[in-house]
Amino acid sequence: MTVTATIQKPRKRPSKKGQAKRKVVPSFVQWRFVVVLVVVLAVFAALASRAAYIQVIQPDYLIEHGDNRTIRVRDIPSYRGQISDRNGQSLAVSVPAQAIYADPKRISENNGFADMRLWQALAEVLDTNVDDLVARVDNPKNRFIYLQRQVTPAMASYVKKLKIPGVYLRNEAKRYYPAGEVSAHVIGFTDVDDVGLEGIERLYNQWLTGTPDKRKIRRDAKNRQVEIMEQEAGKKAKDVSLTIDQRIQALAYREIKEATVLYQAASASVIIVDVHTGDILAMANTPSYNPNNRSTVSSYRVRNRAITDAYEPGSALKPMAIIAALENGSFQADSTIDTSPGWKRLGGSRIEDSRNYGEISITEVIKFSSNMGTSAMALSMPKEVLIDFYYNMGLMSDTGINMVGESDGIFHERPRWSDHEISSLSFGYNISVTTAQLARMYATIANGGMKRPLNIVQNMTPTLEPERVMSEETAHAVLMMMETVTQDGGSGTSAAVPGYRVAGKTGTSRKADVGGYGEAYVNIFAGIAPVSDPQIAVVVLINEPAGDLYYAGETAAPVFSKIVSNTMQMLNVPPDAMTVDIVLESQLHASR
Amino acid sequence: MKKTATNFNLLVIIMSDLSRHLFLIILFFFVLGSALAVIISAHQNRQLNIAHEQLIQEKDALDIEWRHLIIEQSALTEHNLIERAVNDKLGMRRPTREDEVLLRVK
Repeated sequence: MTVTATIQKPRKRPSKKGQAKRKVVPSFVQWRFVVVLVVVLAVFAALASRAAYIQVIQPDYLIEHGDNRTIRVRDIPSYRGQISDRNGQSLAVSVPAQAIYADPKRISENNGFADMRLWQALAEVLDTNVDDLVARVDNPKNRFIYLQRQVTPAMASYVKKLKIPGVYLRNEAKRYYPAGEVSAHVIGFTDVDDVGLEGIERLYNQWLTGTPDKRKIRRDAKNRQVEIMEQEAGKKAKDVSLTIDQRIQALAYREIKEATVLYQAASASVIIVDVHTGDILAMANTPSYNPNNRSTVSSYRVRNRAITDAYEPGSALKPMAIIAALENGSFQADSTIDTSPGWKRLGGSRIEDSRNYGEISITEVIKFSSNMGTSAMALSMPKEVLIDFYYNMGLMSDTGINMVGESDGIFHERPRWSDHEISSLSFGYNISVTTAQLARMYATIANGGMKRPLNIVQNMTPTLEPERVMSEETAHAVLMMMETVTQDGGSGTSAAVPGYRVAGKTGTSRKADVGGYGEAYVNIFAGIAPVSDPQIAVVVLINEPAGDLYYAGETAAPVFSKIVSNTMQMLNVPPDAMTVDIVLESQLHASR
Repeated sequence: MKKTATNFNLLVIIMSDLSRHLFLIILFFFVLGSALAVIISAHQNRQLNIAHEQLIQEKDALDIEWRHLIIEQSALTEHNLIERAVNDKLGMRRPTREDEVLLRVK
């Protein structure tokens, strides 16, 4: 505008008439035009070159800075899978927790020790001495020090509010075991880094562990996610469903815990097996521990004794000799054996019964737990044949649970067996078995002679196939013989369960010590219930009872009775030793 | 030189010019339309992303709450605890054999 104004300056002198009406013809000033043109072009050129510089020559730098401000990688944490019992009750759950860590380099860079009151507060909440705490982080060369793992959300938010430079929080998970000591041995536990160390946690560590989902996102100024750039699905953590029935597990643990105190025993174990499927319904041991707080737990408490500890089972193994004799045909179910005079010498060693039973039937051999009787039966066949029965029954091999630390028992195959050794084998010496192996043997008898692998996790392909190890008739005959043990005059009358027919066998064995057998005992009661339609096999083992009672019939048998009685109710098994009132359906409705 | 009636009405000139390039105009409006559609869809995409993220956060929060509730439930319903409470507070007991009557419905 100003330019045109200057151009419009009149050149010719205006005439006196009509000054305002004179038209002024603007003239063209070349140099001014060029200047304007050059300036305008220069401005555009500058803008264009700057734009080109940003777009073409130096875009990476700016893109990087833009991305730094907007692109974030977000992890969706993957928590360890749950472990639940057969009814879906949770036995191990992971919940988010936080770890407090320090970056000493950042602390020194940001003058983190300026306000020592903050460190005092941090030390108090971490329950340590402030000088120790500062000494730990006062080395600028370090970049990462955990101050505390797995703190509660409340504590984490307190530490966050302290805002100490160089002290940060990190997400992690804490594992809780709601069932506590009841199922501690089965489930096991993890370390702070969520790696399974014991039990199912260790066995199924890979299965239970997932990896986090990673997402690369772009966020806007309000920190909202506006674009998902990359997405990487992590491995989903899978859950494990156990065959354990927590109701039965809880009552079984309670009973053996009471028994351990009552009989002043060193330890006790119990296993309950579903005979048709091989599912372990309960597996408990004392002494146990609290898996939620293991800071003071000694390692002997952590052992799952039901599968790791093998003992000589004593008379509880006597049904094996009878099974072998019946299967081999050297004895019939109605045969009799003369056990008088109640003792005999075999190769310089003495075998004896508690009294002279005279001539008794095979049923009475089991009922009275006659060593003479089983000895005669074991010696009635070639030794290899007898030992093969023990092998086939799975007494020298694993049970199929595959749990960590599982023992295959102790059995020394020898080229030559003396008669005394074979006799001792028939009443449960010279072989050590775990509680689980014994439970499998009884479950096999209860299952009509079909040997199944035990399993503790549902819906897993079994490692071993079911296998027939004795005829159904033999299994049934032995079951009937074992029922007399809990009946009047038997060795395990206190194992009887009101309302139910139960079969079983006591086992009181002396523990081998240096140079022979000592004064420590192992009490076992192994049994099957109900006899009319076997559902469960239960083995109760009480190790080293130190009180006045140390016979299995007085210690393990009553515990067995209580456990089976309650388990039958839990499983809703109809009593088979009760009179049944028959009612018509119409009567049933009428009485309502 | 024949004198023609020239019309210098600007509007008429523009209109006549436009009518000669109708196809280009349609294309022009298509371009505008598609540009607007891009803007709208990008915006909607962002809104959906924001909503999606919020839902994920909500899901995480619910998951955490669920885990805590499971623990609470399991701790409160621990079988031995209930058994004890039922015995002590309610004076209940397990039925014995004498309490049981077995009926078989025909």
